[in-house]
Amino acid sequence: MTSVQRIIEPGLTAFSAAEIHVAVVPIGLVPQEFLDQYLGLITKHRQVDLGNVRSFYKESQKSPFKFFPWKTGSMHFRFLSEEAASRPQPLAGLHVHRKTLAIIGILHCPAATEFKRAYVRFEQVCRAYPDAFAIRCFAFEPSDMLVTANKPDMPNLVLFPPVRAGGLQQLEGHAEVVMHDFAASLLGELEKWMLTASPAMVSLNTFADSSDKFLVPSTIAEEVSKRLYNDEEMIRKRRYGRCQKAMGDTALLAGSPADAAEHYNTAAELCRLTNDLVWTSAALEGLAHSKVLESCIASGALRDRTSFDAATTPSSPSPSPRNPRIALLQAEHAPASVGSHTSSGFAGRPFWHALRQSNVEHDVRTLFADARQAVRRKGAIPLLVEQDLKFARFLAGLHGSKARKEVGDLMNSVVETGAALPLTEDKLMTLMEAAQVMGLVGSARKRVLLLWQAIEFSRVSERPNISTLQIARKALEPPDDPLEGGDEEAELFRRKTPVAPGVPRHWAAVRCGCIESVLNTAILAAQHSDVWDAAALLLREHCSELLPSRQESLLNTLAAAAHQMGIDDRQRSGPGPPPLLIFCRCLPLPEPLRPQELQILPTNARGPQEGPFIYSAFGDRQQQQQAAAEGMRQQEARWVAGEMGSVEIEISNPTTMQMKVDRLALEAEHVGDPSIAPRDQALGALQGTPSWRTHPVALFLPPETPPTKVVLKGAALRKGLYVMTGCSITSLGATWRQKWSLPAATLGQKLQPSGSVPPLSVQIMESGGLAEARVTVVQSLPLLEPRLHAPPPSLVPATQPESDSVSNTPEGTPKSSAAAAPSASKSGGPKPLPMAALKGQVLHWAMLLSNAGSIPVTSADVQLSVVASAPASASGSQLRRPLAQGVQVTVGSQLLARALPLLPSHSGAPSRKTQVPLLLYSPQVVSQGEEMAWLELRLEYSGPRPALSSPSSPASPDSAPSTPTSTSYLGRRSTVPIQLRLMPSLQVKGVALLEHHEAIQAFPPRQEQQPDTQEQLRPYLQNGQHQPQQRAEPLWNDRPPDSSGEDAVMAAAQEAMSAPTIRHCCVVEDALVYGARLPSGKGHPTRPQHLCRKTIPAQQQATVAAFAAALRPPQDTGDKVVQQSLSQESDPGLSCRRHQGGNVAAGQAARDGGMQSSRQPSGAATAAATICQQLALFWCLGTPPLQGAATADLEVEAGMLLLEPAAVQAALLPRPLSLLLPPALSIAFHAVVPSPGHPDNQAPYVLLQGAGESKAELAGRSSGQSTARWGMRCRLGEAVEVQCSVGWHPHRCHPAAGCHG
Amino acid sequence: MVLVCASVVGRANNPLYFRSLLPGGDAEILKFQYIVHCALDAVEEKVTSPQRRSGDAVESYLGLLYPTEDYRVYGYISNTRIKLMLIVDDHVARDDEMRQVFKKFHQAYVDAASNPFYTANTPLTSKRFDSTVTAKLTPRT
Repeated sequence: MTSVQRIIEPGLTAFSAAEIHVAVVPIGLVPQEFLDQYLGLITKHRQVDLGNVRSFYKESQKSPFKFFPWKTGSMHFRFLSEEAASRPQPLAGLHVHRKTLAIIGILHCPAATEFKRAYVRFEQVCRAYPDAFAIRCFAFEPSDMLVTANKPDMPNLVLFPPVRAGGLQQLEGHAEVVMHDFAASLLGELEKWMLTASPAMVSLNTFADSSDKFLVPSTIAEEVSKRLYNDEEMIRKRRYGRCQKAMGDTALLAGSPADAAEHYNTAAELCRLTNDLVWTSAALEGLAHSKVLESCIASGALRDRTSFDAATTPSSPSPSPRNPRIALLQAEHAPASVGSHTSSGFAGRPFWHALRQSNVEHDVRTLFADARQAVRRKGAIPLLVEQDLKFARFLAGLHGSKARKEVGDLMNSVVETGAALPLTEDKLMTLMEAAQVMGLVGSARKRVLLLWQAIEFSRVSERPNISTLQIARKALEPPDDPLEGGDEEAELFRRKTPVAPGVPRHWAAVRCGCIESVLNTAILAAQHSDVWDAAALLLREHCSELLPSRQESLLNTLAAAAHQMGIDDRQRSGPGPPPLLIFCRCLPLPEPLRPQELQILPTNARGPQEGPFIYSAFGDRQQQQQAAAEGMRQQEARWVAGEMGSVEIEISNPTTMQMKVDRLALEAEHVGDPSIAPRDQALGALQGTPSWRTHPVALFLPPETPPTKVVLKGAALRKGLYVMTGCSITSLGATWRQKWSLPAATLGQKLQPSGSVPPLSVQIMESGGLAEARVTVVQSLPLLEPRLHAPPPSLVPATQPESDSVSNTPEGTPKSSAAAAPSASKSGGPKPLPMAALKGQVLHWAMLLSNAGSIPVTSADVQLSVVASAPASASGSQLRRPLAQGVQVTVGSQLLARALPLLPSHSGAPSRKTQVPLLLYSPQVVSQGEEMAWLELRLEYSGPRPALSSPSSPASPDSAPSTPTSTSYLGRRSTVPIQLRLMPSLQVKGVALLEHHEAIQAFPPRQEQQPDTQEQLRPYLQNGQHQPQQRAEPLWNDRPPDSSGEDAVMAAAQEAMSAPTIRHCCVVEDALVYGARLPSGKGHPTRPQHLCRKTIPAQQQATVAAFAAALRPPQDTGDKVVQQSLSQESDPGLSCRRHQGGNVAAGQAARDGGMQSSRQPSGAATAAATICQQLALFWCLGTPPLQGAATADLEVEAGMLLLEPAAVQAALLPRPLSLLLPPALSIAFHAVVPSPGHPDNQAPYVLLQGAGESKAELAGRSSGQSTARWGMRCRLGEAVEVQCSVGWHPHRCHPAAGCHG
Repeated sequence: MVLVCASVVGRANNPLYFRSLLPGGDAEILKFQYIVHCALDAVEEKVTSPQRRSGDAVESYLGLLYPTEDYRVYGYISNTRIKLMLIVDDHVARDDEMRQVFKKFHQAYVDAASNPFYTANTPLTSKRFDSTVTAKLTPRT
């Protein structure tokens, strides 16, 4: 009795009397994580339904309970740690439920070296609990030898199946069975006690009768009454009354409140009769308890099994488990444990609601009032305080904050009464319990005050510092939930939780006071982790209120505490001191890396699928919706699994000290994948694959750094939803996880009425983190690196070197040395690639694609768009210039489709590159000077498609031709912007139409007409054997073959051709002006020669005089070759569209226009249009690559020179010519002088005398089978005049006519 | 009756002004902070569930809020939900007397808050307000 330090128990409620105290004792060494798991298995069964117990219950004798609720009732356990259970219980004589009635030992077999000795140790422990009825030793993970061994001397041993053998579910099932059996044996023992109980067993001289610590010194009147009631009869009755009270307690513990009420009634009567006031009060209190429990059972307020099962072990933050088994167990319970705090049935909203409906409150009030009255008369203050606390907790649960006033008054009286308690611990406990109850009814401020008083009292009364620290920590924690029971198992689990700031922060002085008291007591108690937590909290949240000297000392304290802490403790799970972090946003990936919803058509079903209707009434709206959805998607940040993503945060250092952050790493949590079941996700989490890879940085923060933007990186390794939880910071010797803090309130927010906005603390506590901190991660995608490969003159180097060197390769993948890869700059997308082209040039480019990712590309598409307006990055001077129109690009998409799938290039193997040809026609515009055009090459690609798309796969395009087979896939879109400088080149200056004879006369070296004509025809005729078969046949086929008429015409034509003068031919005269403004010197020291090539369709007869007037260039660097040839366009995809299939109509129109009088404007216009349509001049850039096959000349860079219809019309109008356009046309070139041969080109050259003083060479030669060319080599800066006449040639009738030249 | 502490509490229960009126009373200022902070519970109670009949006029004076062992806290709430709190020593103060004191205190606050350079609901740093409070409230009124 002398060792009694405390009488008042913490956490007493109106239901405490129904809870059987069970000591849970670990035997020997049990590793903490296993202990937690086993404790979780046991504490799950805090409430056991009697219905489940019944199957284990063996009725050996007649039950003493008349009203035993087998179907609806339940037994309740309160599991205590060894320390709590072994504490002396002075009131155990008064209340049976204060005794420890059962013991459960926990034995972790792998850790117990000698099993028998461990069991003996358990039996020794059990001897410390003489009141224990039921004893069990739970042995987990037994060895096979232990399982098979005969154990007659271990009657209380219960072996649990190993987790490896049966899994966790079996373990849980086993625990359930064992606990039911445990409850059944306990019930049997309680019944046995009830049957054997007799008044003789009752002591009349207990602690409650005699101790001066329990009772105030008795007055004379009491002494008189004591003697008065001290005769034999009274003593017998008193014994009987006390026995009845004990039986009532036991019945309540067994789960039969109706029986208990009966016993309590008898006890109360008898005790009152014998003036045994303390027992009267206890019996009345017990009656109140039994009434409450009875109404719980009657109203079904106790939770049913399903919801009870959902409630699990305390959800206090636990350190991340190292053992996969425990992780699995926690993962299984994680989804269900949300929202429930305890596994007790005496908690929760439905419980209290049912109790509120049951009108039990009035009875309880009356009974408690009577009990209080009785105990007050006796002066048993501890009992009075306990009853007040129980009643106040009952009211708080029933009414919550509505009972604040009543509970507040009750607690005021409790505190006042408690001051008179003789024991220091009791005084302290009164203050703390009163504070907790005030917290239950919402008086958080009064709670803080009371706890502060408790801290001061504890300090003054020189209690151990650790105990004071516990109170101080409690003052910082938020108040309990009135609807939930207290977390009674916290002591059992012994988890260390970080110091939590529960006090509202708007009253900084009070909060600082609480934290400072924690800090001071923690320093005295040498609890370094608490010192660290408290100092960090002060610096983090109250930096502005602290003096600089205090801040410095706190930082020193932090460093010292971190130095003293153990290695495990240095990894703090909670937040720490500044720097503070504010989350800004998850940056979307740069454009080429961003996942996009693509509408890729299956390869065979290329082209838009249109319905039968031209106009769709809903088309506009659908487009708008699509555009809006696209805009939304652009806003949302989506990352790709396995690739780096960026997060923008703001970092600030509010302290006046400079801080060095050794490591700052972004932390993210994989919340889950909506397409995977939660259980599978938990299993996936156990497989050991990390879900996040971080990219740490080091920082140095000067004093009082305002919020500064920092971009942190990290790679999400799995598909699903990620939440950016905060950052891991290593500084001052410790590592902690800093969560996001809220940005500072603006003045407008400060001035808002406080009621209209939720307090900041509410926002920060929002579960799941900030909404913006979530990012969706999609599955891995391939990554293509497009590189533009262009012949050297097309690229303009050295002007913007950074655009060439920066690659779009994400970190983590091998870098490419792409010279022309689009740069993934942080803002505004990639910079355009500067290219140059001559006006009218046909550029042959190629796009080289290599797969830098890890997934093959299975579908890809290249699209092209000409950007009408200059991008924002264009400078002002460029903006002012007109943008060139008419740039056309053709892509060899079929080649790309054939090259699929593009396999990823592995690290060892050289990257495989796929070449996609591009053909670009730069426009020929009239305006002078340089022009700019912006192009975009858009490459869309995706990896292997999901299985869903198989019905729309290109395998069955014919089965459903009417429905669009496009599906949206997740892929990537890479854009290669090109900034095209169009530099002036050859230009048609003017057109003149000459009579044919004038044209002929313009060539003086002509001696005789016939050889000359044959000479003219030679190049073509050599070619003509094959060419007309290809080119002219469609035309001829259009017309019904009329051989006689045709022959006549051909004969006439030949006749006309052979005639010395041809009157009825039209002559077109072109003046080609070479605007010699090519960039010179720096980039192109040796500018290649320019090759002009002229193509005239075979169905036209005309004489073309081309004047290539080369203006003066800055440098005279080379010769210019003007070459004219018949066009050979075998591949429509890679050739000029002007010559595709339009010949019939155009020829017809020309014919019509030609036959009409040219005076008519319409006829002239038509004729001009036809001439322009039919006549095009090509030119080449570079050394004449004419040696190869004829088809090869499509791959050289060729330019196209178009005639302006207006110019031709202007030339037509003043000259009233009658155009004769017979159906068969031939071209005659005026090759005047046979050339001596060129050193580079063995083909004979023909010199052409042009106007002016230049000496030009005209190379007329046949190359290959189908193309005849002749070229003219001339010097730059000199005007060149070229005349060519196109005359009759009946080649079809006489295919070999000219071969003999 | 001796006033030992004067305090102005803002709409969001944040302290705007806190002054110990005891000579050398800074030692106890943390205790006063706790007491005034705790008395806010009583203010909330009184404001949310006023114990007055329907005909009664709304009164700013809240009366005794929280008695501790040594001190008593009296309160007053303005129309703009600014709370004025005074801690007096344990002697019983008459309500009429306290009303007069609070009126003066309120007037001083109104004067200080009318300063165009003062932003509402921010801590009061006006020296004039400080001197007014000290001068008018410290001597026995």
